[in-house]
Amino acid sequence: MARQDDELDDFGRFAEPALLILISLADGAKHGYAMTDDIEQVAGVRFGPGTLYGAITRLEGRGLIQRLESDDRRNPYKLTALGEKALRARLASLQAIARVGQRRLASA
Amino acid sequence: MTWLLKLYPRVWQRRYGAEVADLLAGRGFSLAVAVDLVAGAIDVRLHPSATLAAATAATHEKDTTMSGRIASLVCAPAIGSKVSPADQWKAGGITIGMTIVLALIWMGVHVRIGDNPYVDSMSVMTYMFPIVFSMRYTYLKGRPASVQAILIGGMTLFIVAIMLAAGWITARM
Repeated sequence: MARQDDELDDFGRFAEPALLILISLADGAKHGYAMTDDIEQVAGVRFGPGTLYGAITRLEGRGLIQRLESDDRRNPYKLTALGEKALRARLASLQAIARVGQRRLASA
Repeated sequence: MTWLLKLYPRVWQRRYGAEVADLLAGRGFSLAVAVDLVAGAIDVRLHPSATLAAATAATHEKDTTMSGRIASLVCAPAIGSKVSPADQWKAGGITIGMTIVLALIWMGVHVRIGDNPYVDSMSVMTYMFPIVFSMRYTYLKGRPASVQAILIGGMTLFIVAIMLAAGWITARM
């Protein structure tokens, strides 16, 4: 079966941070600091700047997020249409996996 | 801890340095953050195409002029960012298969014609053409078919021209 959620496949160790960044940006543009706080609240992990910007670099390079210009040193990032599509596909895939896991646990 | 940002390449520092420095501002020294920054710097050094792709994407958004588009083409990541394992196999297959076929053809021609400066110079094509043609699945992946055809055809003709010139020069020595 062809997969539709392969945008984050070759992010390596940045796959999880990248997914959480996309989730964080799903409710509006945020700069790095706000993303870090939001991800900590949502997922309970606080990424270091090296990890956060390693993922941001890859997401921006793929066109999944876009930097918005700002007069401030803190440039916010927003989700692009491609990023939204990739996030929807990945979440649907994770949901399907979770359903299978729960079904198997229930029947165990 | 902002001094650790000096470990990153300049192109990365220009794009993200100020933002990361802002994140670090006011923080005391933390071994975990220092290790994270060093690991990040190593990653950026090992994968320069990711930074270049981000910088290129940003350039492309702003610059829609012809020169800007050409710059974005020239500055594109060295290896297509979407090269899959299947593409790598195809590229490898083309490189190896075509090298074998062209080497056999060249050997046949060499046996029939014998020593000839033009035939000798064409031996180079047996490994250069396969590399050029395999680019369709690596460096040129994702480019429009017309761009692939122009670049692969252009490089092929350029190699043939150089080899013919080399044969011509050798014949007159």
